[in-house]
Amino acid sequence: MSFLISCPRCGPRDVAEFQYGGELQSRPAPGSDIGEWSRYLYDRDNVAGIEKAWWFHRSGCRRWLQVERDTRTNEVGKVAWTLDQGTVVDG
Amino acid sequence: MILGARWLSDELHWPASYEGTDESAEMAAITGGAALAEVGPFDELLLRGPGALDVLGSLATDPRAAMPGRVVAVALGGERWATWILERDEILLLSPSGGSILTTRGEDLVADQTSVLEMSGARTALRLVGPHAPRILVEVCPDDTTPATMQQGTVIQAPLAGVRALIAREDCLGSPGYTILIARDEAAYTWESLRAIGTFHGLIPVGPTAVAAEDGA
Amino acid sequence: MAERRLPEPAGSELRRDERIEFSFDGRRQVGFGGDTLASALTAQGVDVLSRSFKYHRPRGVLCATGGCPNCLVEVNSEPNVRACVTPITPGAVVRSQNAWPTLNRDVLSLTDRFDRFLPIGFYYKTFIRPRRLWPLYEAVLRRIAGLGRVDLKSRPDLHPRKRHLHADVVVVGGGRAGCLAALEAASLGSSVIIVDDGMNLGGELRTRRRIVEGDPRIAGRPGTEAAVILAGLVSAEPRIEHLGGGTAIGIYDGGLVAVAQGATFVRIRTTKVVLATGAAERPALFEANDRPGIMLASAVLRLAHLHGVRAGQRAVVVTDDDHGWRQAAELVAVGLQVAAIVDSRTEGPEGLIVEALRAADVEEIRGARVLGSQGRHRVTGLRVRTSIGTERTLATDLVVMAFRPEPVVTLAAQAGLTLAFERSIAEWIPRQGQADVIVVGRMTGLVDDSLITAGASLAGRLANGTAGHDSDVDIHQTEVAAAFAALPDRQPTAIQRGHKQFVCFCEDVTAGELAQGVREGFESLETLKRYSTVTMGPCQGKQCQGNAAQVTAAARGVSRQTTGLTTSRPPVQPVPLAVIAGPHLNPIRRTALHDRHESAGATWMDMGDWKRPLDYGDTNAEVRAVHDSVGLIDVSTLGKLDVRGRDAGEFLDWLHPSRFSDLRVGRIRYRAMTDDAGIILDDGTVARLGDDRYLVTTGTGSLDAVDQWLRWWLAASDRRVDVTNVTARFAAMNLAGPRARDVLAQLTTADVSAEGLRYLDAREFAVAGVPVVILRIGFVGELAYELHTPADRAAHLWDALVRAGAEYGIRLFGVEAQRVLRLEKQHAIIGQDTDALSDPLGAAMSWLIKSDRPDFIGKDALAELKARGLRDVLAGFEMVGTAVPAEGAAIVREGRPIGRVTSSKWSPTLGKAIGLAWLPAADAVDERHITVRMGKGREGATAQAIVRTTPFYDPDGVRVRS
Repeated sequence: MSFLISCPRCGPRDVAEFQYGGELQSRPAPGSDIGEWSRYLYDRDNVAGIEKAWWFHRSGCRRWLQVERDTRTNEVGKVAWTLDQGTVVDG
Repeated sequence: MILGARWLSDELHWPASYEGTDESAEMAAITGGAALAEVGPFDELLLRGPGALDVLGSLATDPRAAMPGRVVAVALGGERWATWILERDEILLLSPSGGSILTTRGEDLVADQTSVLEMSGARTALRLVGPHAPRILVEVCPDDTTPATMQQGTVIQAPLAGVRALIAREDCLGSPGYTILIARDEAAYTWESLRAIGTFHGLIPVGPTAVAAEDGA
Repeated sequence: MAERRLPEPAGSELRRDERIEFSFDGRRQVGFGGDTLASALTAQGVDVLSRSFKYHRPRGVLCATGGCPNCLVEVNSEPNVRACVTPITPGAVVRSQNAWPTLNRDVLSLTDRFDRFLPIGFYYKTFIRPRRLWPLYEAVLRRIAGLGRVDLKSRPDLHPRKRHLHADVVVVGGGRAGCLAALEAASLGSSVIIVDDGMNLGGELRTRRRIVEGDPRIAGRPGTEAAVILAGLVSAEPRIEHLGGGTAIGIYDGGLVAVAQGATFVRIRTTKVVLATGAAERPALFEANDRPGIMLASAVLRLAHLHGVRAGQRAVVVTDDDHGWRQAAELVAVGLQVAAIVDSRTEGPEGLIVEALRAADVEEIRGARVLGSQGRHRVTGLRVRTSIGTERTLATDLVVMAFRPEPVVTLAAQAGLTLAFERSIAEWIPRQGQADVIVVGRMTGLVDDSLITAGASLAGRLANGTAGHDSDVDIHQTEVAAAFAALPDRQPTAIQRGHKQFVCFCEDVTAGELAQGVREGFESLETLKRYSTVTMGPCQGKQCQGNAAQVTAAARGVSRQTTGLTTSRPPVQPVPLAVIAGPHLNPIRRTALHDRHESAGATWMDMGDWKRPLDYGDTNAEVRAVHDSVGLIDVSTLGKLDVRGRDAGEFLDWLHPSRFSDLRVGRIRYRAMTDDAGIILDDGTVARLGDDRYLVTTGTGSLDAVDQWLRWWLAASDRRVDVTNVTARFAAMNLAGPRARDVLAQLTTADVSAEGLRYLDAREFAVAGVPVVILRIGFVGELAYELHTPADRAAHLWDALVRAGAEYGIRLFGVEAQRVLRLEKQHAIIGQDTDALSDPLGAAMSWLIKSDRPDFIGKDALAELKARGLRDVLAGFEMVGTAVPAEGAAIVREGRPIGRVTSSKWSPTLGKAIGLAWLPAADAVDERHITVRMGKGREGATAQAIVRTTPFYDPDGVRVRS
C-alpha cells in the first residue's frame, strides 16, 4: 500500500502517515435495541467499490478527515474534513 | 547533550559552541556544508480555537501574511514573536526571551472562541542550516522539503526520522535553513538521528547564535 | 596474463595505472581500477566462478550484467555478491560458494551423475520413504540446500541509507532512449530523475562500434562515442538527477518508484514514469549450454569494451537472427577472433555486415543446429549439425550466444501495462495504454535508430505533459506498426531433444524437465513455474522466462501467445532486507529526568518508545522505603491532556461512564473510559483546575490512542472544546510515603497539612520556587503527591526533593517497585489486568458508572452487560506457598482452565506471593481456594491460592488518606 491521500491541510501524503478510522456510520440513538448496536459495532459494509471512511493524519496535522476511496484500485477521490455536512457522529 | 536545561535561578547552561569547532569552522559549515544547533531557551504560547487566526490577524505586522502553513513575525508586548500558523485554529507563538509577559497578555486574548495555553518547555527547537541541509532532510523525511518546493516561511507537519515534527523553512546567511520543533521527550533522539545521517554530509554541531533565523525566532 | 587483455581504447571504465590486489579462494589475484571481480578474474584466467545450485556444475560468466546466478560469490563475509557488477577493492577476501572442498574439486558434483533421482519436483517424489529416515534426509538436504553462507560472527560493512525524492518524471534505464527522453523532458522544464544500473550512462551504446543514426547530437558517431556525449549532456542538465548503479526494483501505487542503489534505498514520488529498460539476449538451448566459456554476446562485449578483457581466444557465434551477425561484427571490431558464425536460418543478411565478417575470415555456417558443447571446466568445442545433416565439431573456447534480444517488460507489467504478443518478432511488448507510464526504446521491440529516437523524443514531451499531442502519438504508433508489419513473421527456433539443455541456471531446470512437468499435467506456465521453480531464483526470470515459455509452448503444442508469461512482481532484482529497512532510526523517548536516573544507576527498561527506570538496584528496599518513610518516582511518561473550553465538562461526561462536570474546582476524580461496546479503553485521573479547565491523565502507552479518540468525537460535533497534548510540557513525579508531607513542607509555603491539602485535592502553587500542579492521589497505597511541573524545571525540583528527603532516607523507586506496591492495593493496570474483552463490571469498577443521564459512550452496552449478569471478574489472590506464578498462568479446576493470572509479584511487605486474576464470578469470593498451574503447558505443576477480594495492604485505605 503506497497510495497518496491529499490531507486538506498538509497536501498529498503517503498513506503510511495516516491511520484508518473505519467507514462512516451513524451512531444508534440511546435506547436502540441490541441488534442495532451490534451492527454499529461489528458489521461493516466492506464495499468493493467507493468507500467513505475516516482517516487520522497521525504523523502530520493530527486531524480527522473523511476520504472517498475505491477499495478495488485504491484510487482516492474526494478528501475533506467532512465529506457532506450531513455526516452524523452525534454526541 | 543537555537539551533544554533551564535553571530557575537563571543560570542558563546552554552550549554556546562545541569542542573542536571555532567560529570559522561554524561559518564554513553554514555556507558550505551543514550545521545543527539547538535554539533556546524560548517561550511558547499556543492559541487554540476557531477565533485563533482572527486574534493573530489583529496583532500581526502584515495581517495578509497570516495564513495557515506560514511562519510570520508578530509584535507582542514590545517583543517580536515568531508565529507558526499550523491551522486557523492552532497557532504557536514563539519568543526568544524568557519572561512571563504572555500570561498577562494572554488574559486579554481569551474569549469564548479562543484559548491560550502556556506551552514553554514542551518543545525543543533545532536549526539545520547549510547547502547540505536539504540532503540530510531528504534522508529522514518522506515529504518534499527541498528548497524548490518548500519556500521560505513555509511550515509543514511531517514525520522526521519517524517522529512527528513541525518543520519551517527559515534560511540563514543565504544558505537553506530549517527550524525543526519536536516534542521535548523526542528531542535527544532527533538530534542523534540528524547527527548520524549528517555524518555523511559533513554536519557539525554549532552554537545557536550563528544560525539564528533571519527574521529572528 | 597479457593475452587476456585488449589494448586501449578497449576498457572505457578501466584505470590501468591503478593496480588492485585481492584474493579468490585463498589465491592472490590482481586487477585494475574499474575492473569488476568477474572481469579481473576472467583476465587472470579464472574460468569457474561458482557451482550450480542442484547439480553443482561448474559455472562462469554468462551475462555480465548481474542478471544471472553464475557469478555469485562471497566477498568479505557477505554472501551472494554478484561478481560481474561489483568493483574490486584492495584486500577483498573473495570466496566461492556452494562447493566443497574446493571450487574445482566439488564432491557434490556427483549429484550431476544422479540427476535421474533429482527430477523436476523431486522433493514431492523422492526422499520421502521410509518415513523413519526423514530426519536423515532433512539433515542432508538442509546442508546442501541454499546458496551462500551466513557468518554470524561477522558484521558486513553495510551502512544502509534511505532517500526520499520527488520529481516530475522518472526515467528507468539510462541507455540511448532513456537519455533522450530525459533530456527532452528536462528541456521543457520537468524535473527528472534517471535511474540506470551501469556505472556510466549509455546502456548498450557503450558496447557498440557501429555508427548511430537518429538524433543530430549523436548521429554519425560510433556508439561508444555517442554514449559519452549523451552522458555529458545529462550531467550538464541541472534538472536531471542521475542515480547511477541503481536498479528500479518496483513501481507502486501513487507514482512510487523504488530504487536499490548499492546500500541506499531510494523512494521516488513522481507523476510520470518513462520506462526504457531495453532488451536482453537470452541463452540458447543445446546440450551442456552452461559450461564456462559460453556467454551472451552482450557479456563478451561488455567485458571487452568496459573492462578491456578478452573473454576467449577463438569465438564461435550462434544465432537465429540478423542481430547475431551485427554482434559478430562488433566482436571483430573490438579485436576478438571469431572463427565461425552458426545461424539456424538458411536465409540470412547480406551486404556490408557480411562482407566485414568475410574479410575477418569468419566462416558462415547457415541452416545449422547447435547440438551441444564439449569440455570440462571450460568449453573446448561446439557440436553442430549442418544443413546437409552432417555433424561437425568446431574448436572453440568461447561460444557467443547472440539470439534476438527479448524486450525487458517486467516493470511495465508491474506498472499495469498490458502486454501484446508481436508476431513479427515473436516477443511480448507493452501496449502504450496508460497516461502516467510511457515505454520507449528497445523494450518496445524496436531496433531501428530513427524510430527509437522519435519515440524517445515523443516520450519526453508526453512526460512533460506538453498537451495536445494525440496526433503525434498516433503518427508514431502508425510508423511503429508499419515497421513491424514489414517484417516477416519470426519463427521461433524449434526446441530439439537433448540432455542437460539448461533453461533455468539458478535452479538447474532443464528443457527436458519442463517437458516432463507438462506431461505430468502442469500445463499452465504459472503452475509449471511453481512445480519446477523456474524463474524463482536469483535471476527472477531474466535468463529463463522466455525459454521456459518457449519450451512449454512446444511441449503442449500451442503457440507462445497462448502460453503467456508469468506474473511479474517486485522486487525485480533481489535486494538485501537491510537495504529496504534503511538506517536504524527507532524513536526513543526520554523524560526530562533521564540524566538523573542514569547517574543514580537505574536499570533501564522500555515501555513502548519510552526509557524508564525499572529499578535502582534493589526493588525490595525501594518498596520498603515507600511504606516506611518516603520514595520518589518519575511518572513523566503518563499521558497528559489539557481539556478546556465552554463545553469541556460536558464533553468529559460524554466520554466516560462517570460524570466530571460536577467535579468541584480543585478536586480530582479517577477516570476509566469505555467504548460503545462497554470495553475499557483506558484509565487515569481528571483534575478540575478551573471552571472550564481540566487536566486529564492517561496510561503511559495510551496517550496517542486517547488523543485520537477524543479528537474523533470532536471532529464532527460543534462543541467548543480544545484538547491539547501537554505530555511533553509537564514532567511529573510522585512523592509517596508516610514522610512525604514532611519533605514537601520543607519546600513550600503553601498549606500542605492534612486539612489544607486533602486526599483528591488539586492545587497549583510553587514548590522549591517552581510552579507546580499538585495532585494528591494514591496508586502505591501510601500518602502521595503527584507533582506536575514544566519540563525544563523538572531536574531542579527533583534535586530539591531528593535533598529535602535525605534526612528521611528518601529512596528513588522504579517501575518494578511501583508494580509491587500497586498490586498490594489490588489496583488494576489497564492493558495488563484487562484486555479487549474487559468491561468495568467484570473489572470491579461498576462503582464509577453513573447511568442517570440521557446518553454517554457505552451507556446502552453497560446496561445490557449489567442485565446479563457477571460472568468472569477480576479478583485478588495470595499463594499458599512462596512460589510466584507466571503472569498469564492458568487457574484450573479438575485439569481445565477456568481463569488466568494477569499480575503476580512477590511482596516483601507481606512476605507473600500475591496477584490479580480473572475468575468465574462464583469463585471470586473471599477465602475461596483456587488452583494455579505454575508451569507451562498441560503438564505443569499446580499450587494452591486463596482469593482475597479486599486489598492486601491497608484494606481500608487509611494510610493513603492520612
